[in-house]
Amino acid sequence: MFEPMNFLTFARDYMLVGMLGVFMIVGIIMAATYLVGKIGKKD
Amino acid sequence: MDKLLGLFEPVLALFSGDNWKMLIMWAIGGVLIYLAIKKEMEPTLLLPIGFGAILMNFPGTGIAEPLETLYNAGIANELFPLILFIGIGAMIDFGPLLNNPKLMIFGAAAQFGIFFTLCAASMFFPEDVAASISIIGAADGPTSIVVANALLGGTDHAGYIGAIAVAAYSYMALVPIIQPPVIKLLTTENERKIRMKYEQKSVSKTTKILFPILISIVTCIFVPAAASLIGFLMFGNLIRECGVLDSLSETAQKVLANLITIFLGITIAFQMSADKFLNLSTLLILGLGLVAFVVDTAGGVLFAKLFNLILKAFKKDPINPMIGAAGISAFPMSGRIVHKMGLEADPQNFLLMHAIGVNVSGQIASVIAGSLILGFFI
Repeated sequence: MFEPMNFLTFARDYMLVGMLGVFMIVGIIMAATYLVGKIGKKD
Repeated sequence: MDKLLGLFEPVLALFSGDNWKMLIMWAIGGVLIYLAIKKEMEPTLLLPIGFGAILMNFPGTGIAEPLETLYNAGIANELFPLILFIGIGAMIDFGPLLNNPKLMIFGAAAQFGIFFTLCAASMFFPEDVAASISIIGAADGPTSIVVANALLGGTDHAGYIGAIAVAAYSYMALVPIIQPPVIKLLTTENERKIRMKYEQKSVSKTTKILFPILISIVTCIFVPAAASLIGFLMFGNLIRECGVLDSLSETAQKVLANLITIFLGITIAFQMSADKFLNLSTLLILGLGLVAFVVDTAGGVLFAKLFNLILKAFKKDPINPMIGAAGISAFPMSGRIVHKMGLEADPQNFLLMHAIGVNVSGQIASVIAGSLILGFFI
């Protein structure tokens, strides 16, 4: 099968959401890492 | 005389019906073994996969049964890749990342290839197969196997798992060939010469111990699908950093990782019988895997260039855009390539610590991206 329109459909449904999801979760992990750094500094 | 002629029946069987395809699989297995030994390309995996591909392609040997047993025991239930993650976690020093946590966003940016490839693969394959192919862009063998198996295992499309694993490991080995031209194409000589200050802050032992624990908790809350992969990775890292389990850490890094790698490679070959492997789809999967790696690299570099525009607006020192390419999780090859290219542009340009920091964040981000893909399609 070759369905070129699927590219646009998947880009609309998954590409933006997926990348935003990765950035959001990595952002939360980054914040947690800064928090860990602050806690560890008191060591 | 009949008994003597009977000895040659297996030889004749090789040339009957479609069995000639098995000879092509021998050649493919031979090429993988050649690349592993002669070119030293991911030999720990390409050699067992290559040898297994040869073993799997003889008529009437019954070799598939023990391999199937191993497959069901270690890959169908995702046990081998997860245990391997303990070893990988024990090998990774998150120090450069803890020194500069903002590098994590470049690890996230370099996952763009996964989602681009998902869209590209959807033009040719059903969505579960397209999703499994896209995860080749994670540049991380165990993640690729876990995601592909979760989506395709036990379905009519299970035959694609072998090709996906071979593509993932082959391209990881080819990172030193794939990445430099893409990086050079997207950066100017002056950009490659940009030096980055590295302030060596001391990372306390408490920070190094808390990091794997807190990351596991955050992941389990926000991305439950990534809990097993991140959990095992961070467990391995906790063993490394705790300071009281040195012998376990050494075992996880060497014996455990090596043992699982031996079984992982040869077991993947269970999916490499000629009837499952030799078709146009396999070639397409290899092509899409290359697209994933190229777009990952481009995504990382272009994001770093975009980041530089923001830094310029705030009158801050620019970063070297090449470090964005290290966000691909192929650890540590990708970080070393960026460092080497920095030195080629300027012999005093030491990017290693920045690049390795981005590289280990790519390891985490690729698992997150894989888990999101699982969440979308399961």
